[in-house]
Amino acid sequence: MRALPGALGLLLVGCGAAGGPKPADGAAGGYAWDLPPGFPEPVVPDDNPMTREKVELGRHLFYDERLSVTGDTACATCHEPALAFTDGLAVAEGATGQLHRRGAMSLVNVAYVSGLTWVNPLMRTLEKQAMVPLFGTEPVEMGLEGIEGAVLDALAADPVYQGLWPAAFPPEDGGDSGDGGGAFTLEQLVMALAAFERTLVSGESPYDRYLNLGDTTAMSQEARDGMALFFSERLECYHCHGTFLLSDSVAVEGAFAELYFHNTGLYNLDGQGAYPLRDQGLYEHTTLAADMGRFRAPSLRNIALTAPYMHDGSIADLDGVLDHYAAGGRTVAEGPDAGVGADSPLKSYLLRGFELTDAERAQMKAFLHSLTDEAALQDPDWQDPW
Amino acid sequence: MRTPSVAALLALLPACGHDHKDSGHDHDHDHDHGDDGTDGADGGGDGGGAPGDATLHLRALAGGADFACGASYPLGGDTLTPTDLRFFLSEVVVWGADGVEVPATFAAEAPFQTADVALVDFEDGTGPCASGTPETWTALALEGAGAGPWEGVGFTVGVPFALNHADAAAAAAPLNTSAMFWSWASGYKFVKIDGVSEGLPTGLSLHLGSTACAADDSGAVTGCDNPNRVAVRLSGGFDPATQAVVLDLDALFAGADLSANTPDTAPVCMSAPNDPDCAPFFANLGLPFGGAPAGEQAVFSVGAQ
Repeated sequence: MRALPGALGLLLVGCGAAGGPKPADGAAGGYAWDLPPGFPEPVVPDDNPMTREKVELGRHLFYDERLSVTGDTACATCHEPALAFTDGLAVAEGATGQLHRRGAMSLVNVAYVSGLTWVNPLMRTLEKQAMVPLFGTEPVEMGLEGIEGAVLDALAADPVYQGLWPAAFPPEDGGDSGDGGGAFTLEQLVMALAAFERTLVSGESPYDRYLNLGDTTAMSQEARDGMALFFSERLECYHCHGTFLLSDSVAVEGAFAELYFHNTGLYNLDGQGAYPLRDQGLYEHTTLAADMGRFRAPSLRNIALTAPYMHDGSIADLDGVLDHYAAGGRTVAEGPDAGVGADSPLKSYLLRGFELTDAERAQMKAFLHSLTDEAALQDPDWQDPW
Repeated sequence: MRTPSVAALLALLPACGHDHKDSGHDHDHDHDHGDDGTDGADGGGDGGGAPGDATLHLRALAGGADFACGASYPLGGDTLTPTDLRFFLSEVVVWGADGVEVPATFAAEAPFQTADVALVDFEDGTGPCASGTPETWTALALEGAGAGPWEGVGFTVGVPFALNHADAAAAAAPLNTSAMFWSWASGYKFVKIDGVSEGLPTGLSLHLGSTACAADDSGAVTGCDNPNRVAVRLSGGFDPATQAVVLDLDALFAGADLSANTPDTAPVCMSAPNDPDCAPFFANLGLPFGGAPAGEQAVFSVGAQ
């Protein structure tokens, strides 16, 4: 029974499924990344080394609805693999029905994200980030405040975890937290979730196949023209959506982490650049006036699957996003959020605006669609194991 | 029973040769007394530490009545029915006639207190406090302060910086109390008061904790512009055998409006620097907020046990 997860992992390595990296058969307890071409090794915290067993435990936990106050909400409820681990909603809905002020972010390639969530300069590791949806109360996401002991007890009583858990955290390695007989701890739960999330590496989209795998037919001419526009000084997209991740905030092994936040002129309530009080971005963390409305530029990989867009899901589709950037900021005509984002004194200087012909608009959209890695999203290793 | 005169003398002795005012944050915690003294520490008599050590009693009052789950209180221009009342307390000091502060530690008593921090817990898990815990913790056994009485007593409301930003998922009690986790801010709620009012029947909160924190690339917090720890100093005499530190909820909620919430902000106050509903609480606690300078806290005082 205890050998099952490891054996399962070995079988999957051999099956050659397309998509993300497979845990190769490394040394005992070790882990070898099998990364797409051009992808550097992710940063892994020293105190949570990757193991196949931990990843498999984390996958079960990620899809386990028992990790919620209502028993019906898993991590995967808001992070569905078919939607690049988003939920298709403008803003996420927690276990109790409370709405988040922001949309669920894609977890694809999250191992490379230097600062997690839409904006939080403190949130540098997935271990730390996991605590927010598990325990946060404003809003309630999974709602485990005060009941994590009972949930861990329930998991410990499940024969599946009785196999997976000690395989991932062997008591003889100190995985037992001290009260004897294979304790299931919150720390281990969070470590396993993070380990699974780090395996969600995707780098074989048509864009990657064209760029890195020598497949000159992977992208249409239209998409390639869109790529040229994307990386042009005329549109300026790539300054914030650069690097292999198509985001300027990346962390890779052996390099300094880069973490930036930008105001894209989405709101301008008062002519001074104010964002709605419900979400003022980096300003909430620094209280610096210049940080009003600054958010992290997310990776654009699989962007065609993750509508609606922006931190608050306030733009419905890619056309709307292109309109927003073409205008150099969004104009909200009426209501409490009314204002001309293009006139915001706080918006990034790169929001200069541009004009797109219909053909160029189609090229841009074709390029953005070429960033979708369909095969990875169907990777058996990423799916619900239950 | 007690020998306060001897203990008072003992409390003064450490002052000789040491200026504890300057070492209050890094003094050695000599608390390895072997057994953890979990026996009857909150009985108020013997405390949990060495013989002669004091117990610091706390009360929470609203309208002159002791806090109780299930009760309602006229507070903040509305009627508050609390659902939670917990806060962290640390950095206890006492002083005698010479005014020299003598640091004390807590007797180690799992799960509510370690040498460095105690979770004061007034909710008993009953009625509207059902999401809480049956155990309460309002009598904190001290070590290193003698038995009193003292000229004054002081403490910090909050978790010391060195502990506040460590890994909560791996923390030991009381810092493993998930109700006090404040994960988005990479720390703990120092104060957690929740409840419902007539104007806000779905719930309201006063959550105090550090904000505007910065981290290095590993996520280790390097400092916070708004520590939001409340340093309390209560002078004029304190006898731990008969007196208590009193949290006056009327004073804490003075000037607050619990009947409504500023739209698009957390329900009442979760310490957001841009939430105007926080201003009266911070003023009452003596904390700076929104350009208003720090002042004197008006919430804690000395009263009878």
